Amino acid sequence: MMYEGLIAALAPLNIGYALFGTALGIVMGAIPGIGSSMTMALLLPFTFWMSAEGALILLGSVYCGATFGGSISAILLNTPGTPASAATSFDGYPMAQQGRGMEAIGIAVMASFVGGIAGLLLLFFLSPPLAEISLKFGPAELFLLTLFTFIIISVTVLKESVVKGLIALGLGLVLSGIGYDPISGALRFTFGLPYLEDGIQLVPAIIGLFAISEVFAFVESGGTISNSLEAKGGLKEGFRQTFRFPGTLVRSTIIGSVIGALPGIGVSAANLIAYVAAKARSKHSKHFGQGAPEGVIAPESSNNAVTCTSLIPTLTLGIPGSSSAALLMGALMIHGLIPGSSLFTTYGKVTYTFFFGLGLSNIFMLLVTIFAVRFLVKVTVVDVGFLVPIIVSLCFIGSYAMRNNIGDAVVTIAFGLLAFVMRKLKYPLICLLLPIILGTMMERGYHQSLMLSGGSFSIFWASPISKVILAVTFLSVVYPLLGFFRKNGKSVK
Amino acid sequence: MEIRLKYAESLFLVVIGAVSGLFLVLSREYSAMARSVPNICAVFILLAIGFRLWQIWLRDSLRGAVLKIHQRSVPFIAMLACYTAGVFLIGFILSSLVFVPVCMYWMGQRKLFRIAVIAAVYVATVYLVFVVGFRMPLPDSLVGF
Repeated sequence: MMYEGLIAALAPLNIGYALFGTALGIVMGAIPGIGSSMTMALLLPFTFWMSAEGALILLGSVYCGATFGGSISAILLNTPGTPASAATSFDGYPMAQQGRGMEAIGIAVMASFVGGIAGLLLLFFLSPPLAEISLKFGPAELFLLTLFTFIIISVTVLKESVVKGLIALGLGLVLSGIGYDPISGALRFTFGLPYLEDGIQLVPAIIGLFAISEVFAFVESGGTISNSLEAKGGLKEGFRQTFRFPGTLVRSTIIGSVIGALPGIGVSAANLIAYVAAKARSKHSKHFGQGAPEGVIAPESSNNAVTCTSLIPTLTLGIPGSSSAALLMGALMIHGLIPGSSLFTTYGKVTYTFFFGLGLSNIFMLLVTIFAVRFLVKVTVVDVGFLVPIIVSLCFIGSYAMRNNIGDAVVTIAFGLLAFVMRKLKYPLICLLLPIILGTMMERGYHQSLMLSGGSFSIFWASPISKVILAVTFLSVVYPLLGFFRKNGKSVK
Repeated sequence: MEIRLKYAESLFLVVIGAVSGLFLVLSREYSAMARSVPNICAVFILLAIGFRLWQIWLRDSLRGAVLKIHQRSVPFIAMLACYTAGVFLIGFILSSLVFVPVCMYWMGQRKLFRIAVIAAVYVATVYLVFVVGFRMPLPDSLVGF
């Protein structure tokens, strides 16, 4: 069946779908706020008349392409096109400012390619066992995982300004409480505004935090994005740099693969978690935020690993791991395919054709980027006077298009102003963003766990997975403290 | 424009603290489950803010530091507000046809023909790609166009 799937994937029409989907996904992913979900939703009606394999390959290619495409605007403009590329801008944009935009894109595309292929191999060979493991993650495990994420941020990112980061973290958690309570459904902190009943939407918030605040930076600085008119490095140097940090590449791919297999956490959190973990383990952690290649490798390899492994719970259990996976599931059902074991038996040929199509998409992602990057990096030498109104206008489109609600555009501006103030006062934006992404999940996991255990906190260390997460959390706090005391002890001597 | 950093940050912290305090007060109307996590977070912020204000004022950690605000930032905020209002009132296309060239001119571009062409091509491209191509609606005006 795998062999039949490979032959079917190499049919000219399916190759065409993979190429078109990847290219379209890259373009749409680069526009802030558009992303894979919206593009896939717009294409879904067109797939009715297509074969099941063709439809899945087209939509899957858009998914892969858009996840990478967001990194292009993240690197060149410091405005992540999708939430999946938020962390890429932390080091990708400084590289573009140093005239190393092509190198940064080279790192991003190669890391995305490696992450995507690794995720695909896991999808091929480990779908059933990984699906079983994902079922073992209950509310307590999800709560501990989010708590671990916040703690590791405190220990790594906040080293420079602990109190400021904690304030931003707390503010993000408070803002994530706006809207419906995830358990009781009660409305909280809406001030009577129907718009706030659904809470703060993630995409408008991210566009405001990164894109609008960067526009303010352009307004103040003027000139061009790149401080150097000569391109340093290049695509090939970017490819080489990716493999100079194999530990970061492998670790981030594993993080993305694991997170992708867990429904609900999603690609938005994966890239941030991978970035924080890379910074914690790197020997060059001081260079993070100033153009460190590892700062691009980590989020990009993890987010493309997520795109493939998020299909594991989708295809095996019918539980979509992300909104894009949910759209793919919709496409499956439109063509009469039901998630479950039949996808790997009766309809195995369709499934494996789809998997090989995703592999083609990853290859086309490399080829399209190699062809287009020379034109793309020219945006870094365009005067920002031309870029500012266009970026603002695209941000409006991106935030409005999701729900056709002008309130989302207002949220974008509000978060943009907040981020502008936070950047001036040197408060870390990542600490505001992560609770907005994970706050609701953390609260839901907390309350569900206590409801399951009848109010007993012992549920948080009951299962083996919980014990592992708690142990890793404990080590993440203790290890840096030991290093701190050791260093102080040496200086006293 | 320069402001002493300790005053700027203190004002920011007071605003954040006020918002957290407001959330604490409002949450008294909610059930115990609904208010538990927000209350913990709000108290956490207030403690962190208290500590930070102590650092700023009593430990004087920001002695002499100033916050520089570029002269263009405040007018740009006003332009953003006008653009947002314009999108709401007269729709995306018309307001972009005004905002894009005005902003380019304000940012220092002086070749009027180039500005006009770029603005027109950009808005036309957005319309063709999103409205015609993807049938994605853009904000309509309240006055019917």
